[in-house]
Amino acid sequence: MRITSQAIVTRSVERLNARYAGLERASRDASTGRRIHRVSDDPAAMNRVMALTAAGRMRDQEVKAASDAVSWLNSADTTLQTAMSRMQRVRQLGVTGASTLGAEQRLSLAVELRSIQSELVNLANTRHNGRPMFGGTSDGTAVTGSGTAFTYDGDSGQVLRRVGPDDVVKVNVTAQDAFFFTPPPGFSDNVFAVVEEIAAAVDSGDTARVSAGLEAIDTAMTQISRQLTTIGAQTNHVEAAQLRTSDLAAALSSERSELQDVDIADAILRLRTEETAYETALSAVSRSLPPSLASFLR
Amino acid sequence: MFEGLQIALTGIRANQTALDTAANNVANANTPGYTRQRVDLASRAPWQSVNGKVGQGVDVTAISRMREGFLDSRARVTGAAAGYATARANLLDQTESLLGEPDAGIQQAMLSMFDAFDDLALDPSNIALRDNVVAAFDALGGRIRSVSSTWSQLAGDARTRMDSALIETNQMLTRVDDLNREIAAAGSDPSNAALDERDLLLDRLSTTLGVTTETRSNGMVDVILDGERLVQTAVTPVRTLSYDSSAGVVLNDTLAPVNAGGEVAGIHAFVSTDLPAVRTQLDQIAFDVRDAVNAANAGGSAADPGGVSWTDGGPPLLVATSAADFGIAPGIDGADVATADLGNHALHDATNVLRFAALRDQNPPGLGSPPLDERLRGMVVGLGNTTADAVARANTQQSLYANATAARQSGHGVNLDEEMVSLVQHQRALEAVTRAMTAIDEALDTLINRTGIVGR
Repeated sequence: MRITSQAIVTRSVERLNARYAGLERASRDASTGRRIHRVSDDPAAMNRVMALTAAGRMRDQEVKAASDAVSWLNSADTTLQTAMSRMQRVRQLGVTGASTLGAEQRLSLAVELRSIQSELVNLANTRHNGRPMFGGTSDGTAVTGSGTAFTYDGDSGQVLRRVGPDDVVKVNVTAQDAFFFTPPPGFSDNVFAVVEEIAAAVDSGDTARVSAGLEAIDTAMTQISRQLTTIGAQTNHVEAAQLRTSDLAAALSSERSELQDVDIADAILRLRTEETAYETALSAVSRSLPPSLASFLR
Repeated sequence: MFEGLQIALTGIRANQTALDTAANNVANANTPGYTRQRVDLASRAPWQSVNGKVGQGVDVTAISRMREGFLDSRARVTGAAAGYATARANLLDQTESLLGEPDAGIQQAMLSMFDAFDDLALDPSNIALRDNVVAAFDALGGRIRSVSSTWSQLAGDARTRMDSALIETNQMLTRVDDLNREIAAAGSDPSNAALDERDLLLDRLSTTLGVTTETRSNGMVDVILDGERLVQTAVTPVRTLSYDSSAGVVLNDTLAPVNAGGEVAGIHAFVSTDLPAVRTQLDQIAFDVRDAVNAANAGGSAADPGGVSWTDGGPPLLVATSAADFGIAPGIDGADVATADLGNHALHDATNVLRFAALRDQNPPGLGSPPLDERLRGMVVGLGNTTADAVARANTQQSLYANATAARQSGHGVNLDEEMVSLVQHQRALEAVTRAMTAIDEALDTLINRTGIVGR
């Protein structure tokens, strides 16, 4: 093939450009740590990367929701544990009150029982993050009333948390579930009224009624204890889900990194190679360009 | 004897012409479109002397251009294909860049919107979180609108490029016509410079417009585009072209559309096919998000910030007649986001927020498969595929064009070494011929001045 000086120049420039572009690509890959920078670099891989990004964001939200769920469940657990210990005190006081006592002693028992009752009402109306913990989804006071007339004013709304793929858990317990129950005959259907009824019976020295009241206390404690068991199980579930979701998120991000990121050793090596290739091309061009026969004829 | 002087003279003239031509070649070694020239020599018919036939010297029959027609047409065909592929690939490449995926694109805004739903689900009565949902809508709207408007700008720029390419083309056609006349007028000995200039114009016309040519016997060249003769022998004026956005490239005299090739066709394919296709998809994504979000909001009840008054069936939150005006409906704020189930006026009920949140990975109710994020990805990856394909084709066509150009260059380009050899060769010949002339002159001197003086 006949080689002309224009052809040499054009091709040298083309080759230098190609090498320079290769060097630029290698240096961009090495400095950004990314193998693909835009969709058209590798559409199939980028499709997967975008899907993984979306899934990763979802897992992040689920981990966040799981933390929130744990905080709900822990609050409910603590509050109900307190209520449980107060109920144990009620039972102790009831047992004491069931024996024959002096009027003064009875009065002091009744006073303590009534103070526990108002404590229990306060526990039932505990607020978590500014909303009634045992009130379902309503914003009002969960339990209202006084004496022996108490009503549940919340609703049966569920507080749901999505803690993993297809894993939605209910994190709330209503006061209806925890403090209202089917009572033994002659007693009200809720903890607060029952405590007042026992207090009244103790106060009046009606030991038979106090003894019967102990049965109602046991029913109430069973009710609370069942809720505590449920909460414990839910907490275990959520914590396991949180762990699993975090693992999933890590797996997603490592898969994404595999698709999208460069192997650093490989990137550095390629950068070195491209650098050498560019330098070689430069030196080749610098040798091939100047000479012509004109330099040698005299 | 005097014949010899004449013969030597023809040699001097011929070799001087050859030296001039070589010098001209060297001088034009880097001139674009220059074709190397060669002096064609032929010996003169001999003269019958008493001693036999004696040569009469040398004639310059022509200074010819070393050009191969088929290499030209190959370079032009590949040039048109490369022009088309490169123009389209560049524009698609810009379209993709403007989309900004995956790091600064619509997906991030859409995922932030889903995150805002999830955050609200944790505390649905929180007015700040509800406002945050509206802010996320606004951000998504802004992102989609910005993509839409930058694409419009890109289309406008492409149109401008198209118009200026056609103006330049029309000027080139007129110039080709002028050169045709000049060449035809020169008859059998046209100027090589004119031929070179015309060939260069035809090269550029091929790359920008994809024309074909037909050479006539009088040396004129007809320029043909899609069967229409734009420059035609003995017909004036030349037919020019303009661009009509609906019809494409049209002839100015009939307004009939022609199938152009080259860069112009690449720009046209982008403006009329590639960009509208992806714009339709972007519009559809705006509509889908609008419909999915509005349907979800209508399916719940919205509370005012105090949680006192309720609206059953939230108002439409998003409006869009195209991607260009996609955004939140006028007067919408966080209190319009329906958080509770329809008719359930419980401040902390997140049932409806969960419907919003489900849009993240579930098919939008009433819109069918797939989920919103996947729809967006479909558009992004579709554009990525088109772009990758166009870029790959452009690279292939470019390298074919480079090969064809190199092949042609090797035929008509100037090789300095060859020219140096030629210079030396003709310089030596000139010296020799001059010496021959001196020899004859000396012989004549002897004959004229020294004969018949014996014994003087």
